Amino acid sequence: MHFLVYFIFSVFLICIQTTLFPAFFRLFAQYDLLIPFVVYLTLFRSSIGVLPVILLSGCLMDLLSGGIIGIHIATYILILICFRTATVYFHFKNSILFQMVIILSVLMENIIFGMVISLQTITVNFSFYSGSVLVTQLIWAVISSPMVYFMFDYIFNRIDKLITGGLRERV
Amino acid sequence: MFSKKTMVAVGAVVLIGLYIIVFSFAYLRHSSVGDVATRTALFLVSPFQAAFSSSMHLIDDIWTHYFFLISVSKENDELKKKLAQAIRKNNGCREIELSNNRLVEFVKLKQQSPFHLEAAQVIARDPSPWYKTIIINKGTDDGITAGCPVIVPKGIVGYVLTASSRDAKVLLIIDRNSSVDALVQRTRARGLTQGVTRGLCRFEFALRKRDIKIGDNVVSSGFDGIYPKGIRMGYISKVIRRNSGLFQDVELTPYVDFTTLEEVMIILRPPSQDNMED
Repeated sequence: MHFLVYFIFSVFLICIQTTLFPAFFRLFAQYDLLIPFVVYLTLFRSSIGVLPVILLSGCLMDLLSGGIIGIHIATYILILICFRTATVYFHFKNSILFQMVIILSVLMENIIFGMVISLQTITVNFSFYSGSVLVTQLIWAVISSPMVYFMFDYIFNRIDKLITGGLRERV
Repeated sequence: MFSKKTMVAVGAVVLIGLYIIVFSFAYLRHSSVGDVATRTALFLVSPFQAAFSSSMHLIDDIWTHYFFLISVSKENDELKKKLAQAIRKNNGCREIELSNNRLVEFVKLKQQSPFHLEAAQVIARDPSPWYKTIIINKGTDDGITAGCPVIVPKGIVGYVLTASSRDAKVLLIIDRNSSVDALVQRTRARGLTQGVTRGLCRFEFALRKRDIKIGDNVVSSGFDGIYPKGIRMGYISKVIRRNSGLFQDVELTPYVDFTTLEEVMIILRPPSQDNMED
């Protein structure tokens, strides 16, 4: 059940990112909305349903994007591995830490994309455009992540209550 | 108590007296004394009259602008609704007008073009800012297959990368993975346009000895096996000719504004070069 909810939510986020934002909020379109979602699942949700959802949504993103297949899956899996491991050492129930993790994840995604593009085009070319895309994404990550944290927390707690009748699914 | 005669006499005296008074005051009005008296009266009374009048206006204002506001407020709400409806309708009309203008261009292109064209709408864009693709609402059911060129009246958009039964993914010419064999229209200098993501293309492998100037039109050469020959792509916006090296660095600005792309045309059966020449 949780898997289905997460998957529907990820499809909803992908739809917003590919249709609504490019049409109305062009600057926001540069920000990968699945990053905060993947981070939230990684840090605050149990393993059941998280890995398949991350795999499926990464696969969807890869299929919809013009990039090579597997780039989004690899990014999301890397985020999952890194920060799930970090939950052993850190307690992330804090919007500032969540913000930090999102910023790191955005950086991680852009580094992976940059490496892949550089391998594809042979020459390494860091243009002003690349810099502006990265900075825009980081700014959005900083601005939106606390809001996103509270929003996800609220939505998924409500959904948990609906599904389990008060028992929260937590790590 | 009084006799009738006495009553008539008193009445006559009173009338005469009244006449005298009236005529005396009428005379006084036109005299300086009357004038002074009038001014004095005005001076004394007019402030009270003004105060009274303004308080009447105030009451009237309160009545009309406060008590009547209940009905005015309702009317205002209705008018606001009507205005919102009118704005919505006007916006719809404006959208229809703009859409109509675009579609007229498409119809012209379809009529003038030697190719078999299929129109489609852009329904989504690439989720990643690093890649430039769009998704259109036509697929293999409409005869679209991978490799079909996609154009608009302004020029080349890209080509179909993959097609499902109802949708297709189009790789734009500004994507890093896109290459189009092209010609400078004026000098026939040949090169390969490659996307650089930020809405521009590079015109690669243009020999240094070739004459290429800023503003030159670039069209597809037809040698890449995807795009038919002679379709507009863009104009040269930057040329750097170094002292050494085989090629010159040329930047191409596409005619198509990819950020506002809403409808596209897909060339379903690109005619071969022989048919084109015929």
